Amino acid sequence: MSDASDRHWGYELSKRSGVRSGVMYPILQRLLDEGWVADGWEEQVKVGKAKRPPRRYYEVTDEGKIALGALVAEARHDARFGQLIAPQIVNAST
Amino acid sequence: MTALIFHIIAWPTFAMALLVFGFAPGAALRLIVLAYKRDNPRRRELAAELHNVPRIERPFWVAEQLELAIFEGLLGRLAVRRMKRKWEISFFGRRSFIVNEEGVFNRARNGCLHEVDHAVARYVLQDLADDGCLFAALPASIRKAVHDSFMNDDIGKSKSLRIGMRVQVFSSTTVDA
Repeated sequence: MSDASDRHWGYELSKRSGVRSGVMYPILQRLLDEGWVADGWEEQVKVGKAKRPPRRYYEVTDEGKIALGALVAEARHDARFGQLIAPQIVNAST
Repeated sequence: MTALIFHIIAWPTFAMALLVFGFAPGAALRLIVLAYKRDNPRRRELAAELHNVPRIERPFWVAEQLELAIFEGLLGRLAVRRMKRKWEISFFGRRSFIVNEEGVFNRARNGCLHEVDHAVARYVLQDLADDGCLFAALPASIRKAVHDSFMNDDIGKSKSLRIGMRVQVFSSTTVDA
């Protein structure tokens, strides 16, 4: 969720992060329980032409932006993760 | 790797798996999501996500959902049922139950108390019930009493319990249904 202001979908997040969907969905559920992300369903209007059911999306909440931003910032100072995290992720999440 | 798979899996089984997941992933997925409770949004979510998965990946993606449905849906369903039974037995004689989030409380106000039961059971599973308070699956007759009390706004409530809300519901005289 490097773009914290946008809507994200389970499959899309799974592809972008390289995390299996069998792992991603339980993670999303935990984030929902923590209140770090909120969920919703696509509007029918946008779905209409594509002829597919509306998808469930996830958005980072304000509380989530603070908490995830702090986590990412902390991880950047950790030698194990520092090089894995791009600077723009920190900027986007704070 | 392929040779190993061919040695392990019998041809009829492999052909059946290919048929089910390869040619009818949508139908297979609809069967798989039945493992989730009817009100679980994961049912609709997975069925909708399938349309965004490239066709070539669908068999593998559906197979992953089978694993997820067994551990998240089926086991979750069984665990909630066990907890409900346990707390239903211990309900009588206590005077309060806990609603751990504002949204659940609002749904309770609207008379959807079965959702409270489900959510409460989930919190119990997450080991949040370490404060000695009661989480209860409510019998129908008591649900009505609770609902009436909600509607009459005569329930004292405080936010002293963590992020949650403790709702004082019953006097000893009302818990006899």
